[in-house]
Amino acid sequence: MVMSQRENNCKGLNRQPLDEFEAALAALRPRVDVATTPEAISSCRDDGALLTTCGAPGGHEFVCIHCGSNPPLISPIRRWGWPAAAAVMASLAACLLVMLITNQSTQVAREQPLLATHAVKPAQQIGRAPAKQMVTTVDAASIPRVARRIGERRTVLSAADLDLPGESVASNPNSRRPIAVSYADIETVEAKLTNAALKRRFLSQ
Amino acid sequence: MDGLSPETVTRLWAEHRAALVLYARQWCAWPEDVVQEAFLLLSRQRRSPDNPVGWLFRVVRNRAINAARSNARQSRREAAAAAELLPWFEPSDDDRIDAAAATKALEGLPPDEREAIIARLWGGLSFDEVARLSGVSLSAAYRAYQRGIATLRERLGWSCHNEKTIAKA
Repeated sequence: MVMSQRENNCKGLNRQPLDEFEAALAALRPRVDVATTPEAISSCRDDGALLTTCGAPGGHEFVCIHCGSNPPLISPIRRWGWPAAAAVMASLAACLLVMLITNQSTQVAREQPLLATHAVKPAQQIGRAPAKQMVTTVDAASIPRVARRIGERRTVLSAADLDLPGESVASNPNSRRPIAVSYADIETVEAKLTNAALKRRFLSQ
Repeated sequence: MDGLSPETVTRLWAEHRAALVLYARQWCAWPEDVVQEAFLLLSRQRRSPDNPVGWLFRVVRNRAINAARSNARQSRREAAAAAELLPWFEPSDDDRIDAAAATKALEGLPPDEREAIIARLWGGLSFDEVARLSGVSLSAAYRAYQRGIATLRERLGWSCHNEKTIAKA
């Protein structure tokens, strides 16, 4: 059998005897502070009192650096299940939030031009319904007339009456419901009338 | 192959524990704990290693370096102070080299030279095993050993032809 040169070198180096200095150095006894007996090691081998094995405390899988054992095999479902569920829940919450914000902004857009839009509608309905029966607060033509009644009937129209849709009043012209508006309401309507022709007509009356 | 028997572990413990503690002391301040863990790990192996001594040195080396890294921030000063006060060797009147002087000289060596000397002289490993342990070539391990021995010889005032000199303080 032919030995390689490396093996020859190895044997040659290892066979070199220690000289006196090396022998004197090797004679020094290393200091050991804690006197643990080998019996303690043997007894600990079985019960694992000193060196704990890798476990899963709290149900979490982890790699124990202390004992250096191999990492446990975790199935992909267990590994990615929780992050996937968290991602789905977060995206669902984001969708709900967007829907809520969109819904609110739509409502605000519908409520904002209350009087301005209502002021246009009666103008279109004037020709279809008798003016005297169109007792609606959003009818710009009728507001001064209603205002004149304030001193006679002493009725006060609340702000809610101003929001009555013109169609419902027009469809029920025989309604005896006492209607009046306060001066503040009239001023509000006047201020919010955007139609220049209606405003001129309103002011002239 | 079955694990090591308790008798074998006990024998390894008695023969190599001191050398392993010295080997681990290069890196960490609590080498006894590292060595004890290495022996526990050895005793729990289901298959005994081919070379238990080399296996022990390798485990001790890895764990000592890891322990040194984890404790580097909190106790570097304390460990240095403790290492300065306590020698690495037990003082004895029979020794031809003073323990404190040898400790100081060893500490001053470069890490590769010191590791090769400790593993070779006190661990009894061959140069091939030293090279595998340190992750270097055989010739590099041998050269590191020779350089370290020469440096120690010079620092301890030990001449080649002098059998006994002033190394003792």
